[in-house]
Amino acid sequence: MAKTRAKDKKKKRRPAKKKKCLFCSEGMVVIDYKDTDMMRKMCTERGKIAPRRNTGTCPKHQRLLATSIKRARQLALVPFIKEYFR
Amino acid sequence: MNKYEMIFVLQADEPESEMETRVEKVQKVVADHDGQITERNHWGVRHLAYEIQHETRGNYMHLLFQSRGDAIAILDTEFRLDDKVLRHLIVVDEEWKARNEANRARRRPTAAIEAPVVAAPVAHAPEASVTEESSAVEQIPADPEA
Repeated sequence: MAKTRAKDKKKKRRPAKKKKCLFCSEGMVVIDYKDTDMMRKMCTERGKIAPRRNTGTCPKHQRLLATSIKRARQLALVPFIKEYFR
Repeated sequence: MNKYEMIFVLQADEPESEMETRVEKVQKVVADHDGQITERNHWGVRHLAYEIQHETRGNYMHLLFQSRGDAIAILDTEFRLDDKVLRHLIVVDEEWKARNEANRARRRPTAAIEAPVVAAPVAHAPEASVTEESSAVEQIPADPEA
């Protein structure tokens, strides 16, 4: 399903994410910003919203998820960014 | 009458009476607009994901209420001006909104929009006319007439 772009040929690893959308498989209509576990799962280590490529989320849910994460961030339930120590 | 959801975060060091005052404020505004608080969840003091006003903890309160729309602006101003409230968020109750949209889509055009809600995971009575309804509110069931 992934389109092959010119720059992808240079990358050695190409995670074939045939994953189903977590939300679709549960038939979820509402994504709850209060569900901190879910919110954190959908963010990267750094705290950024994880791309669909990685999480396998469908476009519709990714949009809803993004707004939910942003709400959770505003309420300090989830960070905007995480510093990590090297 | 619309259903809303609100969370606000009070400074952790404040006494519980202050929290009560805030809830009463909401109660008053909501009541003045023909509404009422339907659910109240006090999450208590939690760690914040990041520092706010040099604080690392906050006292969280979650409310569900229904009210006329014009209450929202007033509520928002009240909480924005409150120095001890670190954050607040007022949002339309998404579950209620989703249920309405599902109902509206399923009904025939002439039927009323205000209808009994479909079955929710939190033990609401299922809607009588839709007996094939599954129990999870998060699913939009297929339209049987489609």
